[in-house]
Amino acid sequence: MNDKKEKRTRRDFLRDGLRAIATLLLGGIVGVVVRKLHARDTVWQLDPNICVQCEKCATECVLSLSAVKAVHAHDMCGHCKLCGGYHRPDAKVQDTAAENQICPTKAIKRTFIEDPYYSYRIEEEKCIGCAKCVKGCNAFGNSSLYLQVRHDRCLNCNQCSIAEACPSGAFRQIPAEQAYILKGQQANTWRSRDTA
Amino acid sequence: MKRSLSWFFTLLFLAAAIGPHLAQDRFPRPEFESAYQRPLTTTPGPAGRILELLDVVLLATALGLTSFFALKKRSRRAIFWLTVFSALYFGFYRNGCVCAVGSIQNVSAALFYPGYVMPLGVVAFFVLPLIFALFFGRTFCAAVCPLGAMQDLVMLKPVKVPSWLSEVLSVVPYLYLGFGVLFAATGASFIICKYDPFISIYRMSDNFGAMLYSAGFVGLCVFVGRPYCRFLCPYGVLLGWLSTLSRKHVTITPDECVVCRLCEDGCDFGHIQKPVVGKIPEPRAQSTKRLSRLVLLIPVMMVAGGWALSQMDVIFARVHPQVQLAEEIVLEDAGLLSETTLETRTFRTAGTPTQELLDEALAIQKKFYFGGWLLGGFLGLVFGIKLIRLAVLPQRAEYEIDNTGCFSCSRCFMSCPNEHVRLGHIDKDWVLNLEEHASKR
Amino acid sequence: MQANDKKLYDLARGAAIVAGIFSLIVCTLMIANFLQTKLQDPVNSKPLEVLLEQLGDDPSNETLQQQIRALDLLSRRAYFVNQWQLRAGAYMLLFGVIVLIAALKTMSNLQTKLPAPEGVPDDHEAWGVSSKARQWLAGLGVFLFGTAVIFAGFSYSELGDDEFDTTAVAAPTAADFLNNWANFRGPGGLGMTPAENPPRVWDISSGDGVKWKAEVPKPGYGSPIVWEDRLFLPGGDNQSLEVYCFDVEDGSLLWQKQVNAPNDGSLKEVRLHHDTGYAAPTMATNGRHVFAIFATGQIVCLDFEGNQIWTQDLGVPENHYGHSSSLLVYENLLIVQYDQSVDARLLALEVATGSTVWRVNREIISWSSPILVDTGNRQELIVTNSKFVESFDPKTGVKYWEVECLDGEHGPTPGYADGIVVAANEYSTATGIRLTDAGAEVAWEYFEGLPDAASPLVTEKFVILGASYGDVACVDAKTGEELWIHEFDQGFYASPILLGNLIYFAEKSGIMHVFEASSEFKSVGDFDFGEKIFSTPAFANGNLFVRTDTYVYCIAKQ
Repeated sequence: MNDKKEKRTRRDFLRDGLRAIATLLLGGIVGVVVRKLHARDTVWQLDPNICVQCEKCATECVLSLSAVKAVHAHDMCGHCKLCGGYHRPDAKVQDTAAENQICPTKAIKRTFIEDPYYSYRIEEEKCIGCAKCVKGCNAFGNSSLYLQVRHDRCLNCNQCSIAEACPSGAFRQIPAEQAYILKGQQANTWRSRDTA
Repeated sequence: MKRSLSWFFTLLFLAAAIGPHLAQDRFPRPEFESAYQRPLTTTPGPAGRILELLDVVLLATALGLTSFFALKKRSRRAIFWLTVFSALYFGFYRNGCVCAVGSIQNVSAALFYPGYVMPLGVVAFFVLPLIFALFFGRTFCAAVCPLGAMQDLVMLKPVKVPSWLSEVLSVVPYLYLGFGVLFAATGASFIICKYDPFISIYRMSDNFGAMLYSAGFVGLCVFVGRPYCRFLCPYGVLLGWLSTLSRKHVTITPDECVVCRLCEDGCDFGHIQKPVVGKIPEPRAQSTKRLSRLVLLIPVMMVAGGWALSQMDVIFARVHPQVQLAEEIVLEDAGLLSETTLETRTFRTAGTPTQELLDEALAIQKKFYFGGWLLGGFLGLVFGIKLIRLAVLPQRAEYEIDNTGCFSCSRCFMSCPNEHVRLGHIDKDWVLNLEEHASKR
Repeated sequence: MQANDKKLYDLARGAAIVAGIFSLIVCTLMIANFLQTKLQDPVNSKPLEVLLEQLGDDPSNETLQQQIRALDLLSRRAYFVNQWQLRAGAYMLLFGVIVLIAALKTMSNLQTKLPAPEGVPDDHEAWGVSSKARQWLAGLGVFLFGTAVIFAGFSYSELGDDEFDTTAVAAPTAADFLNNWANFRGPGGLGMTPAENPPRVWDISSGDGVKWKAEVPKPGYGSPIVWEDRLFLPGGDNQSLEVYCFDVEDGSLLWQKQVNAPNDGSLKEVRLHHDTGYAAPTMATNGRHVFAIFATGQIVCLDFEGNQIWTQDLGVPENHYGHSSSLLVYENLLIVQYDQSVDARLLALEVATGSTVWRVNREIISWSSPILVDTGNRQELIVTNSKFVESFDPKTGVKYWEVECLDGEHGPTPGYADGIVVAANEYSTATGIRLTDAGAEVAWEYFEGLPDAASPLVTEKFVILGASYGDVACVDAKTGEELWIHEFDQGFYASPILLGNLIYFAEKSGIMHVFEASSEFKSVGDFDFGEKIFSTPAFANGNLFVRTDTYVYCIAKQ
């Protein structure tokens, strides 16, 4: 019995030593990592200046209704009657008829402002993030329509599945306190990598 | 040679008029005469981001409470309700992200991948359970981890996995850990998150394939006790190391074991070790020889593993999207692909020089080469140590918990008669009789 | 089991059955729902696409419009209802499964048996387990190692592939480019080369001085290019696009390569004028590979044996005459001027791969070609369109300067010598632009003999302009002062070239005029080729190469 006790203490001693080493190692890892630490949380966002409107945002999100939606920089918009982001390219009449609209869910609301101007507003609950309007606006308009991850919906997965599928590498993690990469007057300091 | 003589002024003016303009300024922005105000783009804040600190506080509290209930109170009931809480809060409410298991990858990326920034919350999720394991064993697994919680709650009729099989399967988590770190450190992919079988359920939304995979895995959990924790979980490897060294750890009974055999099937996860009193049934020289051979084999296995995995750099590197793209570009340029992909088209439109991409891809491949050596060496070592451990026979007089694997779930307590005595359910004499009975054998 | 427990057990069993059936039903419904969403995806609704296509053919069909609107509304509604159902279903399923598990757990708790370990403890059991585990573990290790080795053995990186050695491509020196005729109008695209003894006399009808004559299989106005012992030409019609390689020594056709256009089907749909054709742009070479562009917007890179290295499709251009700008090689870059009425661009493609290194968006259509100019301080890539003369850094595409001096539909490629760039166009002006340290400034303007297609030839002293109606004007390169005007009969599409002190200028009708570069018009000879000439001649190693309508001629050195 005595013998066993002594053995135990020796083993305990060994374990104490190893535990100290493990603690140091853990501390070391944390120390190295802390230097890369961002004080605040990060969120996923897509850079509209890199986005190529491939439509994957609509299908790759783990949410069945994507967290990515189109948004509109109204101050960049030309407010035209014929709108590349609103009408199908082959539309014969520039009205609000279903056959002339580009949006598959008719999530863009057009309102008359004054002759000859119209405003185009995204009804977010209907938008599925397919970027058809963004593509149209880029090709024929002022590119005032663009995609953004909407953080009231995004689950902020550790590995964003849209980011993995994005062909242009437009997705990245940015500090949560500035969770959007906006265009127009609201554009913030986040700039596209190729304008650098 | 160049063009026709015939040209018309009309055509000329037309061409000038419809010529494309700078992408963003095709149409002037109007000044409105009416009072119309342009709406601003709304920027709804990240849902529940304020809870980030709360998450860390709740994690620490849950770890503390679990340790307290498992080691001090020895209450399975409390552990159960904590498990329910974790499944609800860390699982369903916080959608299972970020979790300690996945945080390994963030830490690896932060350690090896330049330019990776890491939120404070993730560090806390990585470190806190490990610190607790160092002091109290794997109490994180018992009731805090949402992955463990799901498996624990759905377990109904666990079958007994043969001991030899679970010994063999226990190397799989090392493989998973190694590859998880390798792919995260090279910036290729977060495979641990990608193949997490429970996240789709906690999110309540995912694609069909992922949902099917999750449902299948949960179905398996009904009949096998915590299969992910035992045979896959990479974080469990780290927890296991620290739990082996833990200052305190749950025990089947705080009293003396009476070797009554009643707890023999008391662990659904096979973490109760039987007493071993016999000797190795073969000549001593033979087992000594085997042991010394295995010790000498360790360096050989490490080198062999390192070499084999370093040779697989090309295959592993293909997980990285940049390498995939580079290879597609090279094949397309060589005229070997009939169709271009969205990725290659996007790359070509962006106008980045191909050489830049190829250099980047080759650099990533090189990383996988060195990573392959490290990982292969590590896995060689793991196999070597496992084999050595299986070549010696540890001597044990009592039923003991395997501190490395034990989840501290507190289920086994009630299978010990001493516990019932402690709680006043039965008389001490009953146990003494039992001991007498056992010694007669 | 006690009576109370029995009651609880039965209750739990009932709950389990109900919850189980409920979950199963919800699950089935959800799968059905999911499949339905797949079918009714509003983004790619096939029936809607079909209807919209029909509407495209018949835009005023009101019934069709009504039909589309109804279907659109229906599918959108179905989509969002489905989404809602999926969400609701998930919660219902979760609830059902929780109840099921709780009930089953209750049942199994009530059935708990007292622990009764079976069998007798076996002293050798632990060792048996260890031995078996050891064997299996060793087996697993060997299996994993073997798999890794096999996979590694069969793995092959596409990146280590060096079938196209870029270092070898850079090998030809500046002198090589001077001795050969690597692109439209020779070195730099400037239309001149120092030649000691260019051909002065020959006779097509008798064959005197003609080294060889070869028939070109398909038509094309692309001019010949020559590198050492090989001559390359493009050709094409609405059936196929081809590249030809002739032997410089005897004129034999070494190979001809049909270019597999990715947009083959659209070959017939390419809009072009018969005076431009499918193969108007001149090819270019870097001494190792040749590059050709066709009216379809397809660029192809071939090696000297005719093997295709890469191909790029720029898309059929919006060009009412057809694409005619020629290619130019600068170091490892292939310069492509792709001016058209939409999405006009100036591209620099990597010669090794065809991938874009830089791109400049342009706004105005043109049919002229780029030139490469060495100002003494730097190399400038000068391009023109129907409005501007612009200069870029050929390495990066960064703009150095621009001068607005052109008008009309611009075809002639600019010329350059000794600090003066000359750009001219019919119905516009001929403008002398002097390069300065700050950029460039207009030095003079001139209004006679303005070319429609023939590019101005600029020497240190003179500028030669040849109009499509037949006038050739010679002006002072530094001042723009008119020196002489000579009237020819037919007019010029091909560009003049200067060999030594002689100017070779072929009329549309097929007569090659040779005259001296001097302040007075001094004819050396007129040589009739018998059929029309739209292509600019090439000159290399003393031989003159002329492409006529159906033949290519080699006029021997003398």
